[in-house]
Amino acid sequence: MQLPEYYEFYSHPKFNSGKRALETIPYELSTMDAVKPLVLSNMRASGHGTGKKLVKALYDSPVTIGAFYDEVPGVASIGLIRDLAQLFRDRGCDSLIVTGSGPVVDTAKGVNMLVSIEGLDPLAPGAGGLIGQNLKPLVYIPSVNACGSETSDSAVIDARTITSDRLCPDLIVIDPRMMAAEEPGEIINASMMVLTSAIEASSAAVCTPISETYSHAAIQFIYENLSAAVRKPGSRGPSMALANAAAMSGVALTGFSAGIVRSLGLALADLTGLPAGILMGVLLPFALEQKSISRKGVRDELLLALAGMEVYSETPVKERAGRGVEILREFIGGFRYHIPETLTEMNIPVYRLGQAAAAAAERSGEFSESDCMKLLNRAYAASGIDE
Amino acid sequence: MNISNYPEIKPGIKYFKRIYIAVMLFVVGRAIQAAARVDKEVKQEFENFRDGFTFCLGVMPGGPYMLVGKDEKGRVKYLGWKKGPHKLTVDMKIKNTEAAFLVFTFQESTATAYAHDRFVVDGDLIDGLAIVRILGLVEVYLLPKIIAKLAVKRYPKWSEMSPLRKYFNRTLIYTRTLLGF
Repeated sequence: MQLPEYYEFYSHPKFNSGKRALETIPYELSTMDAVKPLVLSNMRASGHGTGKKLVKALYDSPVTIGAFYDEVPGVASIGLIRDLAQLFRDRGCDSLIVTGSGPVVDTAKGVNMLVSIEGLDPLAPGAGGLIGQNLKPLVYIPSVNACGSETSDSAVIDARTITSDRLCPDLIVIDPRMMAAEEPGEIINASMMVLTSAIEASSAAVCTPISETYSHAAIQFIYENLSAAVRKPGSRGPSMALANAAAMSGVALTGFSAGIVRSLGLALADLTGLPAGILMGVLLPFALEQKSISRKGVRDELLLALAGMEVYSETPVKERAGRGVEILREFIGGFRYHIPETLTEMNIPVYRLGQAAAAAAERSGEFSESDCMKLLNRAYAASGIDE
Repeated sequence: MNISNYPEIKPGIKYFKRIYIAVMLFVVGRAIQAAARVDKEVKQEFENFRDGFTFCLGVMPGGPYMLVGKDEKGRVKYLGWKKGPHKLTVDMKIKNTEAAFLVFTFQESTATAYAHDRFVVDGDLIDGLAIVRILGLVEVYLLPKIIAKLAVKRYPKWSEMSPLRKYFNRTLIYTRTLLGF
């Protein structure tokens, strides 16, 4: 593990994970002077009956739910956020609880900004920098298809990314009762996003020891549990491990901008409507190999995270990075039914690649459009067109 | 948005679990009083506490509770289920009803529940740990071995507690618990 010459890391959320974790929410809220949360969920989560379980878990406590809004759609929009902020104020709420994954959490973060800071426009340029104070307590309850960004310091509202340390949830509650069975494709999609976030966070040039710790735990959980979770969706142990991995990878991402694979995956998903996680699953081995060939990026510790101490110590130092990539490729290859080997198999029109490269490069200033094109071309034909 | 579609939800009450926990606390409270007179280890633990020592074990946020104290003559007494005017030396609270139910249905031992951060202890930690040891001994006396093994960190071996001592003290503790002296 490397110690940077200087680093900052905002280590904020508290994790409560395991049996009867939901019931700890009233106590945790009381430590933050809160008793009346607004609960947000999406229709998918409430369809699994998780909302009822959450309400029941708050029995025998002084916590009154201000309102339970379970119709958050698949995109976080400022119109809904303003309505929910009004609902929050009308009911005299003092905190937020959010269940599910993705946009519902972005919506909750948007509501939190509006209700905590008078006159803030979340969509104004540099809005994240204006959040100088702690926001209202935000409790996040992940589901098995959480994709990692939920626990990070950013929110995507109307396609704009807002970043601030204050946007991290205050408490992450992971309870087996909230792990409803999802489609295997959904689980793989979410897990590939988590894996990508964790690997990119641990490979970043400015990776901190704390971020590395979270990333490696997330990588290990995904590697050890994804197959079991896909084989038997809804099984408690593997589902809990995946939800933990998602939460940890989000924390690891705090302070980093998205890496090349994540940015390209999201950009291609926006342009083609294909699942972002699957796209990342296709791109990830190519990206790692490319970095491995150029001797930057892939760290020896990837092997440690994936294969454990025994294999790591048996492998010669020079071969560790390569072996790590090899194991990862084999692992992703195990889900070939869901994750194609190349982008060609996903029927993506070639002209979309250029657009995606431009969008991804614009999203993050850490890599150029030509870097993105190089990776996309490798992944498109798997023969290295551009080389 | 029609806000009347999203009403306030008041928290319900888990009657069965609360009643069960209240009964268990009552029995354990009276059993501690009995064990302090019957078992030399429990007696020894209480002798280390100062006179006027009172501890409370209960469930957050609103009970039920169990109070046990030591009077100026050094006698250990079960003081009931209400906090009342007692000045507490150690206040042990389980964070919620579900956590208390796990402990009192022996799905989770007291030591494991401690490790899982399910308790909040207000007072001297050394006293708190002594109370956990007392609770462990009382559970060994009250429960059959098969259940007590789930409730305590380590079930005492023959060399630590002979069967004669165990069964003789168990009879006395049950009798005293039922009769309340």
